[in-house]
Amino acid sequence: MYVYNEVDQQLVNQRVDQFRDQTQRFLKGEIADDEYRMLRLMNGIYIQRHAPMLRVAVPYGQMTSEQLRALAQVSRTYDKGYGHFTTRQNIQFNWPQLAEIPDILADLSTVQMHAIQTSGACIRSVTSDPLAGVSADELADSRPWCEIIRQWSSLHPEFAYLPRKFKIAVTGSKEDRAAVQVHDIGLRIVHNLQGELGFEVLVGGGLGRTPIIGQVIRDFLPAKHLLSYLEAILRIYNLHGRRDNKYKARIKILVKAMGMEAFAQQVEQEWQVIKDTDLQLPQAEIERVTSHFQKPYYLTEDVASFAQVKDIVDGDFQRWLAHNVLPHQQPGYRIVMVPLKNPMSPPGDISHQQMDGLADLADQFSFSNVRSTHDQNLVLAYVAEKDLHDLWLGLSELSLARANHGTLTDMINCPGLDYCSLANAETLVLSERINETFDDLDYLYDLGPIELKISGCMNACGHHHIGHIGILGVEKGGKQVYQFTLGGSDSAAAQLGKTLGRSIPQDEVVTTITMILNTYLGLRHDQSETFAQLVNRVGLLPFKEAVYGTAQKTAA
Amino acid sequence: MELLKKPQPKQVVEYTDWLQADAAPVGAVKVEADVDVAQLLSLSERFQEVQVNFPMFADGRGFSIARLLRRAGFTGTIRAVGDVALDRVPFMQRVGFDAIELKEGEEAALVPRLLNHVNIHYQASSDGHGPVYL
Repeated sequence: MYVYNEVDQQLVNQRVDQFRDQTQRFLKGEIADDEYRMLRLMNGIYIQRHAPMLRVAVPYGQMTSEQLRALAQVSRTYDKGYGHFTTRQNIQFNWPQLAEIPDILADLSTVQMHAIQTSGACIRSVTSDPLAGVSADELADSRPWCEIIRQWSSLHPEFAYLPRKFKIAVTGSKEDRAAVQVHDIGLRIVHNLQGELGFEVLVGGGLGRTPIIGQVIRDFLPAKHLLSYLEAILRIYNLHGRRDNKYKARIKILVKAMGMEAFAQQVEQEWQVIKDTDLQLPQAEIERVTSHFQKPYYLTEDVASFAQVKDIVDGDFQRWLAHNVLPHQQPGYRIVMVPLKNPMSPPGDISHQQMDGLADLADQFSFSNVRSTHDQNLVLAYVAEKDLHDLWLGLSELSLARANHGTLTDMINCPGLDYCSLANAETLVLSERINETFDDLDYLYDLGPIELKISGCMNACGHHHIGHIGILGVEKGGKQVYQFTLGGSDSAAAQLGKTLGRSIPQDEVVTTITMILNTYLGLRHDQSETFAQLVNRVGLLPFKEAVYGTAQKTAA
Repeated sequence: MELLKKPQPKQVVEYTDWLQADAAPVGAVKVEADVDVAQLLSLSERFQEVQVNFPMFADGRGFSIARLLRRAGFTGTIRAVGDVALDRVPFMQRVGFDAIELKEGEEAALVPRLLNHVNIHYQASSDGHGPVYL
């Protein structure tokens, strides 16, 4: 974990004071609504349907147990006792009072947390692989680079009023758990032929109304040039991105309009001017930041006992072991996924008791570290095999041991019309019904890995385009209806789902999912052919026929 | 406050008009956010002041324009005009503006306080601050 030095702490403290001043002046009527809107947005505050919403940054998904306890405390003191983890690894509080938000931020600053740039038309908080530093397929730890980007982008004076929001994601593994291809800038850590570390840089990806897979703008960017290259891209975007239509303002539209070659040429020209200036990262700074992400003091004796825990006769534990526990790069250790997909609450929600309890378990079993993922789950990343059963008992008591990781009900879901003022349709009612209908874990295991992603509007916070099954809520003639897409993927070979056909009324969504699943079960070679593989093999036609009938297979 | 002290020049010409006329040395030009920056930089020895118009406060192009003017060595005045909005003044100062035009009803007395809120900067800009790591 990165630990703030005096400078980092001072900046966050000053930002709290600045925001308090802005908010007080707004509440006294001294700042116009429109203007304050921009100021609050770049500090994570939306005005939602019922109340303000505060989005707190969990930079690249890393938290200490102390920070998680502080979040629990915030939810108790200022909110309704729960928080909501988002698809960008951050956490939202849905019911704070605007006048109290400066106090919340002051409380959070004492544990080195903030809400800087968690929304607004600026460089958003950077996201990454939640398994950074522990996954077995890792080339290099992405977290130091994320921290370097966090610092450079924080209160960057030139890029605070961009045409639109700007999201950067970094991955250091072969498998892409950060969805770098659907970010404004995606960075993949790579080595060149000389073995030097650098980045493959992708640009212009994104979901929303115009979903686009990002393209490679540079095969290899030496690590020390990271900030100058980002700055060059941002400058070209800031000057030339469209500002006349917010739906055409993301960098993906600019790249598409200019063509990648012309865009890359402009970036290159700007980069040549600035690459050897003080934007070049000194080795000492890279080392300083990297030193915060050392491996923990792994025990090397008497930890490995996976064979023994596999022998424990307890069906529920074994299911959890098989589905929620992943291999680790350190022998004797495992990664434990903690799904926030309780059937009784919206995906991503967590109560203050669960936060406190999980913080205790992290202290006991995972070097006090907790991570959030872009599919709205949490991770304990450093669990000794010998502790797995004890941890499972603890998680079970907190209702955090549901063994549905990677299955249909481990779905991504935006808050939809129940909370969000942008939404066109409800989404939470869908996840509730899906949970009720598909509650048989053995059936879910038989279906294998399926990513179900649900958004309540075109803005696609639920990432529906890259779900194996994607559902988009829209409003038509006063009714909430849902468009299905199939075949999307957020893996290393990301692809956008294709539209199944005409939209489905709300009360037919679950039966439609059932028809889609039955079609898969009927057509797959055997259990080894996953849903995603089958859709790629047979296309959408059999699914269209199942859902709409043969006569209407082309209806759209 | 330095930012508020520089008097408005008596005459300001619209940059595009000036280009179409003779582009001869002049006191102050006013540019719009969609100005061709490369061309502006190439002519920067012909004026003492550039006024960068903010058509609306959400429009951030002016920040890059000022930054690039300073990088090109322009030492004259860069004045933010139009929809400036007080709370953006700290960032404006950082990217190279040294004069701002306040909107009607905005209190100049606030400016020093706003400028003092945050004095820690991670990144270098046109205000002489180096990056935090140097």
